[in-house]
Amino acid sequence: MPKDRNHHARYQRQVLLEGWGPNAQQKLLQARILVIGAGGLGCPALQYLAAAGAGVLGIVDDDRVAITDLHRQILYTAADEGALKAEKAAEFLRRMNPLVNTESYCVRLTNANALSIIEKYQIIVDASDNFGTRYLVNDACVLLGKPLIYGSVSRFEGQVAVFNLPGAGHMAPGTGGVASSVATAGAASTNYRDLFPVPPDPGEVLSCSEAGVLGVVTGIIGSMQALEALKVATGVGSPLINKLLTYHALYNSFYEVSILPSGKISGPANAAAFREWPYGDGCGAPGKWHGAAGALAGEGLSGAGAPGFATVDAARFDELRAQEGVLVIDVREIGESPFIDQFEHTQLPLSRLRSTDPPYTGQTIVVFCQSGKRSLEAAGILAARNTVFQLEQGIMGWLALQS
Amino acid sequence: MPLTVLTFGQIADITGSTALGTDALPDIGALPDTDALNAWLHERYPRLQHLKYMIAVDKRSVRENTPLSSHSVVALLPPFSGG
Repeated sequence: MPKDRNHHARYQRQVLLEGWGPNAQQKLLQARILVIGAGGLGCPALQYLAAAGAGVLGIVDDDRVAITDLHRQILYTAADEGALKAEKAAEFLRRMNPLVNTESYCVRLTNANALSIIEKYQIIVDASDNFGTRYLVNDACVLLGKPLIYGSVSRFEGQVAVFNLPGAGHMAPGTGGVASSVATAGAASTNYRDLFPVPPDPGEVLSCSEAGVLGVVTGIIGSMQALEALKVATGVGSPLINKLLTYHALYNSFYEVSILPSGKISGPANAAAFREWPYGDGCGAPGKWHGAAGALAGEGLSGAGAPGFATVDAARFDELRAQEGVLVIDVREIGESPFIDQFEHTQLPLSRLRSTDPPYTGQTIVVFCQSGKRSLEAAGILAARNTVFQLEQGIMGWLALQS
Repeated sequence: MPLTVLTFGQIADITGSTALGTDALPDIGALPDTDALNAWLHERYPRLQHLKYMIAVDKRSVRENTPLSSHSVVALLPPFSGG
């Protein structure tokens, strides 16, 4: 059987490793791993995962190869300019290792498609390049209970962590693997929002296209993500669970920080809320997502990182109100009736909101008014610095349903 | 090691150094906890007021005000988006 002999020879040098062996290799061959972003981090991560023999590799990227990508996105050649990355990357990987199956998604991950794509995989690698996608992927993995291998870079520095796995300490070689790790869930695990509860303001953090990035740095961080994915898939070694590892290339320095689980949900509490959550960077579902200026965003509009806000119905409004840490604001003028004493809220009239610097930053806020008109404008103002929802049809619509 | 503040990413650009030691920091008496440190940092480096970052004390992330000792190592870690 040529395929089996091929198989044996191809992985022989790593199967030889003490602590790896045929057991770990078999687990890896059965693993379904999704890499989100086939760019600077995704290329090296995919390359090593494919070479090592991951069973199925999913690749999500809606972008096309540009000349400015080639210094760090090492799966592409100059001839690939303009081609879809998810397709070109899959072609490269199949040529390199015909035993690996690839599944390409040439789409932007949004809150409309993320859950259905992510649920098909056991391990998720966040190799994206923007905060909208990072929060979207994190929240989807929290809701679906998927181990998430996080990696990001800025200029000469990088960060790596493993989220959504309980802090189990060292796993004996070949005894763990993703199935048994997930089965022990219940012990505290951490996620991206335990590090950074809400996204930074637009423009607060520079992207690679603005600040620059060295290809070797994405190569190192992406390779470390591949390594963590291999550890989680096989149960070999200790993944960076509940730990953030940072790397500075100019000083060759590593710094590791333990992450404290917050026990709080600062993202969407369920799948329905997820589908309406106002993610930036074009990750909000078309039709539900409004740009920060208040205009309804069409499909394909990236929003340039603006977080925007979401419109919710009365049922979702009640769910958000019940969530810890969510600020409820009445933007009607003081003294307007009906007076609302059915739930706790803050009063901040739209007239004051228009004339002063918005007093909140980094909060999750749900605003309401009488009929849902003024709350649209208020949400647009507050969305520049917060994650914002507004109640459609206002408090009158809400009251009509309470009886 | 005396009280040290390690900075990462663009925070190091703002403070001008990847590590602030005793020569750059006020006396520990003026910095009893992370809230006091943050207030001092925001006054000394106003651009930090507009940035979100995670604070770790002795390699453990902290969410609430945390006492500092004369030997604490504090790290200020901003989020990175690049990939």
